[in-house]
Amino acid sequence: MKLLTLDNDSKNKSIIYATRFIVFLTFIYKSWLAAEMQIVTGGTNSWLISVVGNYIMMGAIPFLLYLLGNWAAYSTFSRSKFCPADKDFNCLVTKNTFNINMNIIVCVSNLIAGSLAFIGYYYSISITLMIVVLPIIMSVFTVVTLIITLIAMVGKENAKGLIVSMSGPSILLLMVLR
Amino acid sequence: MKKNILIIVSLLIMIVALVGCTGVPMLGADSKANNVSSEAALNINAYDILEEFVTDFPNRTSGYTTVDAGVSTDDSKLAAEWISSQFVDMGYDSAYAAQGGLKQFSYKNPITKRTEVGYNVIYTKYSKTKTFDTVVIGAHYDNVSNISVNNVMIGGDGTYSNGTGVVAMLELARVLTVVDLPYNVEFVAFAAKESGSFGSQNYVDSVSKDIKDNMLLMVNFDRVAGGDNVYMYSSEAATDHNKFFYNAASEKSLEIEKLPPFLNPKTTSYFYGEIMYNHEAMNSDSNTFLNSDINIINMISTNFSKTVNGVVIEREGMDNIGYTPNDTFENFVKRLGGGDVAINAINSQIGSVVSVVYHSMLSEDFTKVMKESKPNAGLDLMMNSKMMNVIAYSILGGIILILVVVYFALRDKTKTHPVFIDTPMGRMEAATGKITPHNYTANTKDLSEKIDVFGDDGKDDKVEENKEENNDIFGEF
Repeated sequence: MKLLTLDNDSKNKSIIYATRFIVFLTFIYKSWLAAEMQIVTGGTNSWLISVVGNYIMMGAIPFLLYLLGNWAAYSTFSRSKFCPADKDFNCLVTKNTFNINMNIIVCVSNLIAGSLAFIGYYYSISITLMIVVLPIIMSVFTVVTLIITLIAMVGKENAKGLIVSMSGPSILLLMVLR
Repeated sequence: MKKNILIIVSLLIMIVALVGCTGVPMLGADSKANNVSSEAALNINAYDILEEFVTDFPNRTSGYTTVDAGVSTDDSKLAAEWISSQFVDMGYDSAYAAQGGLKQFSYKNPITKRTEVGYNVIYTKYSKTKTFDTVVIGAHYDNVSNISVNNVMIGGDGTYSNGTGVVAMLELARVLTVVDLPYNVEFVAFAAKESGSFGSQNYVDSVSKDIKDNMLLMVNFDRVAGGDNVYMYSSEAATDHNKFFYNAASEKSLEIEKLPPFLNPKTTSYFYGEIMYNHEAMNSDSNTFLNSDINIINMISTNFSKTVNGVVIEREGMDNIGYTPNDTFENFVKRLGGGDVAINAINSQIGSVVSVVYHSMLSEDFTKVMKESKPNAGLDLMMNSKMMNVIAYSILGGIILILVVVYFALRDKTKTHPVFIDTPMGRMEAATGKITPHNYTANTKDLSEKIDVFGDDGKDDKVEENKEENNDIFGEF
């Protein structure tokens, strides 16, 4: 798991920004089907407004919520008295590590969700399942994967502390990740 | 190296996203030619009867009366009586024979805010075998000829919507007169569809329980000719009965187009409220039956593979005529090429629609398939948007509850430590608010043990020196 560990070094910022940009693209990908079908706006206005409106509602706003949720989750997690820490009481999971892991997991989650929406479309599975239920399932997937990844990083001996300290941030992420 | 990989991956994803934004490929074949012809199509002469119906009864809007020389006439009732006479001529029976085959009902029109009267025309073909198994063949006969929006009349004589459907129903009734079926067939011409499917709702509400519980299928004809393609819609998910009808069409080489799934579906969300879609295939009397868990097949002629401003078009390269003053017989014929071309097109499309229903109904497996098939392909739960929302958010709520329980269950068994927050001035202990400067590298747990204030250790002296510098809030004088 060393691969996904980054120090709070300014040189790692570029990697964070790059992955964050990819995350943004995956949000656009995830909202692709919904936008083309003009689900939120219902195609009542002009095509352009309708499609752009859908990309905003289904892609841009969830992306901003993700950024907000990511920041709030790490702030809460790292300031928890249960958070696994080193001898200097620094959180074992650095901010950059948390960010890069979240970015990668959300990328994967969005790619899966976007692709499943197309599969659901092709095989005539309920649109409600695709549009309403799938994002919830994927937010659960994201949070669970994040916790598992972080446990792998901090070690089993710190798992209990990590779970307790991540319970609040997880609830937050479940609420905002779509 | 890492950066290069990231740049390449970013570019790839960007390309895929941009290419994708050009449009979702719609499932189903491209728009077909106007004529839907088939060797298996029955000999249908729909053109003449269509012309007669829409030109004799151009004002069929339910609830409206016209006054001529002081005499008030309900034109929609006259249209209903004409349809009734067609069934009588074919020898069909009606449970409402005493009322001329018309079942009167009243409804509150949400547009006019008035209580209005409508007339469903109901005739039955009884099976020689005594059974409650019933297939309903329906089409609404009303139009929007008398409705104005902002003082502009919005409807013509309703040739497309829904003269074509009425004629298809009558032609199916005609070809079924000579066959015996193992189930009853109820033909219903619905009134008051355009103001909210009140005719079909009244029928579903008032039909006997025996028939409703044994209703094998409802076939709805709504705008069945005049579009680029003819489709058969049964649900947001593929159903067995829909497959059965498509197979029949395929076996008989009838050119019925595959419906693109989820073209403009409708769903609801507790968070966003009801999300409306311009879903033409759902916007008909058949939906009333679907909402009552009855298998449906809705026949519709349009072009679901093309949209303009998010609205499904009827014919490529032409303005839509449905619900406009242009929905007239003259325009309808002109759009189909006029003259013999139009006659062939109308007979061919309506013939194809009638034929596929006819061949399906005569199939030996029909009753078995219809009894086993479910209105929503067994995805009833998934099709119920509200139920899906409840389940999804319940799962989310359950997981949040579990997290809360886990927190309270483990927190007393988990080791805690002081919490420090990085501030511009240094590390601040959250509990006490005590700030230690950033360059104070020692373990804050026990500073006295680690800092040799008075010793000769250069490192510790430096720390102490720095500490003093940082705490010298007055600076040098």
